[in-house]
Amino acid sequence: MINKSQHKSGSVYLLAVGLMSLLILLIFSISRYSGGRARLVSLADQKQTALYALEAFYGDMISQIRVRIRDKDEALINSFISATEGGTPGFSYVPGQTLSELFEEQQISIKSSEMFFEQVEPLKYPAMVTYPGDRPREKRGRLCITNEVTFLGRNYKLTVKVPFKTVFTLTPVLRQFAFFADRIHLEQREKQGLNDRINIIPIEKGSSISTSGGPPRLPLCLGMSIKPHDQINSDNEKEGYVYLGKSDQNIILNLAGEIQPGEGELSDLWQVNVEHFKPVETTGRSIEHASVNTLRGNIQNKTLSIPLRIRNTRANLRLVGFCRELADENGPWYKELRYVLESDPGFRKYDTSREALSLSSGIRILGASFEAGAIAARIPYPRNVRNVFGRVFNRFFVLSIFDFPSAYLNTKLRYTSEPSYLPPPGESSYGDKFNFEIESGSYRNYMSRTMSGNPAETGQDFDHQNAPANLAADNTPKVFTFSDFHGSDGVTLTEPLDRFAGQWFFDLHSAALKSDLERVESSVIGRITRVYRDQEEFKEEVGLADGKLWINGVVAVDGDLTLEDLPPETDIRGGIVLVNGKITLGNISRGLAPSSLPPVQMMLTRDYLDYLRSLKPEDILTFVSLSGDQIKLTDNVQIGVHLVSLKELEGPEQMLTYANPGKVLFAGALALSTPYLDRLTTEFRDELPLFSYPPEMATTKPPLATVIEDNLEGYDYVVE
Amino acid sequence: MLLNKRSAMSLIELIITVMVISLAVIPMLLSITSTNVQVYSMGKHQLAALAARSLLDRLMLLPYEECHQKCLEMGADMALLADPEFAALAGRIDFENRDFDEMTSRVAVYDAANAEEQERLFVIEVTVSWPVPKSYERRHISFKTIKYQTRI
Repeated sequence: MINKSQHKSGSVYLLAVGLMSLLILLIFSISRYSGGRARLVSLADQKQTALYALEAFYGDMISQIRVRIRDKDEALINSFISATEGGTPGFSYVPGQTLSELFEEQQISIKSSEMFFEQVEPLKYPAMVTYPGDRPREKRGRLCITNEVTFLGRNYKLTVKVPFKTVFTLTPVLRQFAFFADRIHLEQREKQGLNDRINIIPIEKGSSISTSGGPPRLPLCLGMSIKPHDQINSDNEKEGYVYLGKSDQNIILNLAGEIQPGEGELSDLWQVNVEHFKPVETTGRSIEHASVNTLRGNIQNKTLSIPLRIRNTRANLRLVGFCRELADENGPWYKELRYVLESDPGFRKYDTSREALSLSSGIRILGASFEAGAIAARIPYPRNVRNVFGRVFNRFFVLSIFDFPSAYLNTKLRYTSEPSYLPPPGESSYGDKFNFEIESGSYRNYMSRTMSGNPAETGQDFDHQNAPANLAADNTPKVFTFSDFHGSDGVTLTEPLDRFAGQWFFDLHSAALKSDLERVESSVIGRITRVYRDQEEFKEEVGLADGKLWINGVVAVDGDLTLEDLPPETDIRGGIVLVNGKITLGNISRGLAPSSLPPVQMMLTRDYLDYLRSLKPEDILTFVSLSGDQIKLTDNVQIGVHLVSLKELEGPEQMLTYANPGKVLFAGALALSTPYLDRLTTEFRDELPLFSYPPEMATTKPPLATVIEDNLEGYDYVVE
Repeated sequence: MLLNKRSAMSLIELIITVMVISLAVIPMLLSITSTNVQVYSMGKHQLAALAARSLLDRLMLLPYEECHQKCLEMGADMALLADPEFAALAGRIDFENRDFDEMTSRVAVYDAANAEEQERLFVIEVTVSWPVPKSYERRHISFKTIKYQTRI
């Protein structure tokens, strides 16, 4: 019984001890759980703190790189431009003061830091563009940054990959062209008559006149520099090329005529070169002003006088341009021309539209005439030339006379379509007869004719009746095609120029881009360094409120863009602005002081030419309407601006308009599928407009912008 | 009879046994309660850290100027759930909003250390605090980093 009672008492104690043991175990496990959780919480906080520190770390490095790029640190910029796989940016990183203080406060120490380039590859070009292998390429790549820090005894490592691009801030190919109109043929559906909307400027006394009672139309004048004789037709890229397309369509430009040399600013006959009369031997000869007695009295006519085989006989080829005086039935030329060109189909077309003989081209690809007045004495003749691409021809008339000056021969050399024709001997007023015997060429090279009457009919670009507006390097008139294009950066083309826009520019939301990555990468879209949701974001980011307009790359604005007049002192850094909509620009004067001189006369001043030369390529602003919308200029001074609006068209559209017709001064370049000269020329008022080309746009080293992108392409965080 | 009397526990023995067990169990129960409080507090800490990270990350995603402005606006203590963006986020993980209802946040902005850096960066510190249960004490957690201007 004693044992039994003791057993009972022991069971209670055993039960109590067991219960207590269970409680202790419970507390122990809860305590362990709690402690473990606390440690985890602590670790998570440390990990997060270290991560923020590491993000601040690489942010400091990128920020410093951006500052140095902004400050034009050549070594650093060049290291990006010449970046290769595994290479390093050209600068020594020192942690910024703020970062250092943050690390010190958080007791974080830097263990290691590494930065190198990876996945560097050149940006592609469209199939039609051949980029030389020995020139700096546009690139994209990633800057791989690995930073490691120590925080409370543990190492934390963050690797990020920051994409970057180096892109040209001038548009390849297009930047070479002072004027590029790849669909201007739509403005000349017929080469003569009402459907010729290129030759629309009525000329009288060498100036534009009004035929409607309103202000006269003024042609779009592309400025040319003045060069010494021995430098003419050299360094033509610095004048800016001209392209009038399409490439398989003839564009005929009527040269404005004159009665007296230097009469008015729009006389064009100075553009005719002795080389236009090849194969006639013209070495050492020039086109001179010769006095001619006409029904209207004595006039000075630009004349190429060519000695013939028989002593003292000559063929005098007088040049006649388009003007009211020509259209006048009783004027100095009309009756004579009608007689000698009776069988010339190029001239006969004017029988039913004689007034068309007064109309000259709405675009002056070689600028205004500077022969007028005192200027003529200073300016050598012939003037400078520029390269013109496309099937562009000059139309004018040749009125030829077989002459023996002392014998008053004056036999008219009539037009004939017969290749072997020879005129009858000329007879002097004394009854002497002189045979027409030539040293070079054939009669057709001497006879009266319409030059470029209708090149499509002849099949030849340059012959006795076709005068291409362009001169090759040897001064021979020659139609320049894409194969003649050699960019100053070494770029060449394998397809016609009118195909360039279709391969380079795309609407930002183009369906074609979504399905074709190759198109994205080989077009301007693949070069975009920053996209703005709208123009407000763009204006804020480029610093307009701070008196800045910094592009520094290729940026895109999704929507329209309107820039009011920029203050003259605006700090401008160039680049390409792709606008997915309409563009409206005010003045961009860059501090150019207003001149009392007429704009085209400024091309004669050293100051303006020096100013043009001072416009740096990296400061040029290119505005592109990706949608091919009209570009509106609300004021009339734009300096250092390249305007681009190109698209497929069925008919002409006015892709550039001046909201306030007036005196226009433009320095830069235009690329418009159709300028719609018929309308545009009514928007130039008071003075001839000047569209001049900054020579540095044709630099052999187009500026490259280095842009570190905002996004990351790699992120790896490791806690050791 | 004597044997029968000895076979049962006396009242005194029973009382002593209960007292001994009580003396041992009560501190243990208190300890369990304390541990539970601690665990609860850890949970709060984790949620606060989550909230602080979320807030800081959202601020860091903003454009530079906007971020600076927003930070200044959030400079005073404010209830976490007063921030609609956070309230929406919290609603997804805490359906009754009980975990965050007493939490407050505060964003501090510090200028960079020198004039050059002041043009392109500032320091952000986000602090989230919460009350300790049955106490006037508040605990807090903060994270700090640097916001850089990317449009340089």
